[in-house]
Amino acid sequence: MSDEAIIKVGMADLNVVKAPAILTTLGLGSCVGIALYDTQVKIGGLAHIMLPDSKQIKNNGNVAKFADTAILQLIEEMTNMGARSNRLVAKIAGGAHMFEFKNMDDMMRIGTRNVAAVTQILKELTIPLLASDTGSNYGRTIELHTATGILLVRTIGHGTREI
Amino acid sequence: MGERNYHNITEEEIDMLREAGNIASGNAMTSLGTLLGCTLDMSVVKVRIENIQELTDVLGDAEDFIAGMLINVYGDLNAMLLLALKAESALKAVNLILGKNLNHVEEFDEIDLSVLCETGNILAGSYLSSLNTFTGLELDVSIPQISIDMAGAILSYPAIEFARNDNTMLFIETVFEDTNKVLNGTYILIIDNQSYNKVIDSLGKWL
Repeated sequence: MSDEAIIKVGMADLNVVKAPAILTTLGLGSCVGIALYDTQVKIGGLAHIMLPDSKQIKNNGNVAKFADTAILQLIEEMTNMGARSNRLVAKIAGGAHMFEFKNMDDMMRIGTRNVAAVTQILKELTIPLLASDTGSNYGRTIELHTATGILLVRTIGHGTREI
Repeated sequence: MGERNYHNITEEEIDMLREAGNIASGNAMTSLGTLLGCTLDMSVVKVRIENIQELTDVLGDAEDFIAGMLINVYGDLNAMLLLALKAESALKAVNLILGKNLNHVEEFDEIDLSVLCETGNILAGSYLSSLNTFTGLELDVSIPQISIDMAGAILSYPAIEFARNDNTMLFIETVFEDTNKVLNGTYILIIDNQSYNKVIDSLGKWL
């Protein structure tokens, strides 16, 4: 393991760094980790969103909680640091179903809805989605290595992969 | 009495919730001890209000390997009960209850998983019937569901449900351990703001 700074992103949180720092978020369940990266200046951003749409929620002050507002905030902070929005690429992970309750259709699909919202917003913003590791029923820890743009996905019992 | 918000919770209200949690957990731990055939010690119950940013670390490290048995509570409260056992403790629980000799949670079959769910169910029954006795609140529960995975991923489920309109979560936590210190876990009641109001109101009639 190299000694680059590792910066933790909590639930409903986001952060932006320059290479060679590593951004990590631990134990993604139904939430989605969104990694944006400018390959040229090697600036990376990572958000850990919980819900698809800020407009459906009254108390939506925390922009990092929602797919729509978190992505815009990431772009703003990254461009302030020197990235260009037209050079950004994306990788995402998470959106699992941790529990399968009956009669809770909405909640059961929250992981899927989060992934769908993120994918749609990236498409609208014409940010290429290079890779994703989403769905199923297990948790994921991710690391965005800003020196390379690699997103490392770790799981318990479902392997480790680089996307 | 107007609508309180748990962000402005008073010391007196914390004491009320803690005492309610103490009695209900004591009951639940007795049931669990009977089921496991051992004696459980529980810590002082804590009333915690945590920011969602730090929520994944509530059960220790976000990546800790745990078995989470989750139950939805309906009726007079909108709540969830989560029984969280470290993977090794879940393994010991299954071995104790079924007289098995498994070495790893990956060996769990459907029966082992349903035994863990049932354990969650029994705890919830004791906890809630105790709560009902001194609050009068009528409570129903869902069928328990289990996930054996990273603590943070398991907590994301209640977090999404309860932190939808808020950036904090209120929960009443009991940490327990058996007297031989081989099995330990955490039991958590998570309630929303409206439920917090109902619990305080109903406890207030008594105290």
